[in-house]
Amino acid sequence: MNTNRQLKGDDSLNEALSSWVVSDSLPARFQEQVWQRIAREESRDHSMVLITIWRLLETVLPRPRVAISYIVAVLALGAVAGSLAAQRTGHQLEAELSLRYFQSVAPYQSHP
Amino acid sequence: MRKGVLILLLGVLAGLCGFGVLFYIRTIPQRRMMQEPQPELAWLKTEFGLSDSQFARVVQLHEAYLPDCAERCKRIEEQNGKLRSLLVGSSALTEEIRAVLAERARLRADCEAEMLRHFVEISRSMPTRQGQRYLAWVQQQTFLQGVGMEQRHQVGHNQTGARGTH
Repeated sequence: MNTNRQLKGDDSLNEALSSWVVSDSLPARFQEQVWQRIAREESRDHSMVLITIWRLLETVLPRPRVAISYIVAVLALGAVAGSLAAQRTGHQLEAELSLRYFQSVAPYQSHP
Repeated sequence: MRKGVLILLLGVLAGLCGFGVLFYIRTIPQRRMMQEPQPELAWLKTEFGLSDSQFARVVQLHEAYLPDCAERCKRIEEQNGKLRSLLVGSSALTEEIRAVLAERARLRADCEAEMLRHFVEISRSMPTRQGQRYLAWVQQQTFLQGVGMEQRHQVGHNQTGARGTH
């Protein structure tokens, strides 16, 4: 019973929609206003991120435990990066010196 | 707020210090090596774990080898010069060109033989296993490595072989 009534309602809605003609024109500078709203929303998202970072700096980082953990973590990260960079430099130097050795003893050979 | 920024900057500074200190400490051996009079030989000492006396012997052999090596290189270069001038003045394979090519090949063969003798001597100055490793390494890098035309022909043969199988 309910379903029949609903179907009838849908039919009359479909009829009304198909007979509906939009006679009004869009307001002036409608598209421009839409784009401006989108831009405003996007800039609000960016500023929200900045505000969150700002609040973290203001409230979370000054806590002693967080501050010490942060400094230790960055120190460790720097140390690991320094160690890896030194390792890479060492490998490059070894390659260069082995090449120099070959150039000194085997000038007519292809170089490794 | 100022406290937060200060801690942030302190962290960045700590990171930079960590990087600098570790980089400095871990590159000390390399810097020492580069300050040696012959860094390539200092590298050989480190790479093959030579004692001071073994290293002294290696340096002695190396220094004795270099003047003869330079002399051989000079003679090969003379032949290269001769060949260059003959090739400029001729568009055919003359007997003279053939003789220069043969002489240059002979000099190169002598050079390679002397080089191998030197490598063997050096390897004998090292601890047995390191000497074997050194010899295998230098031979691989010099005599056993295909160069120039040989390598190109090797590629050519492989391609021909691959086509043949299809």
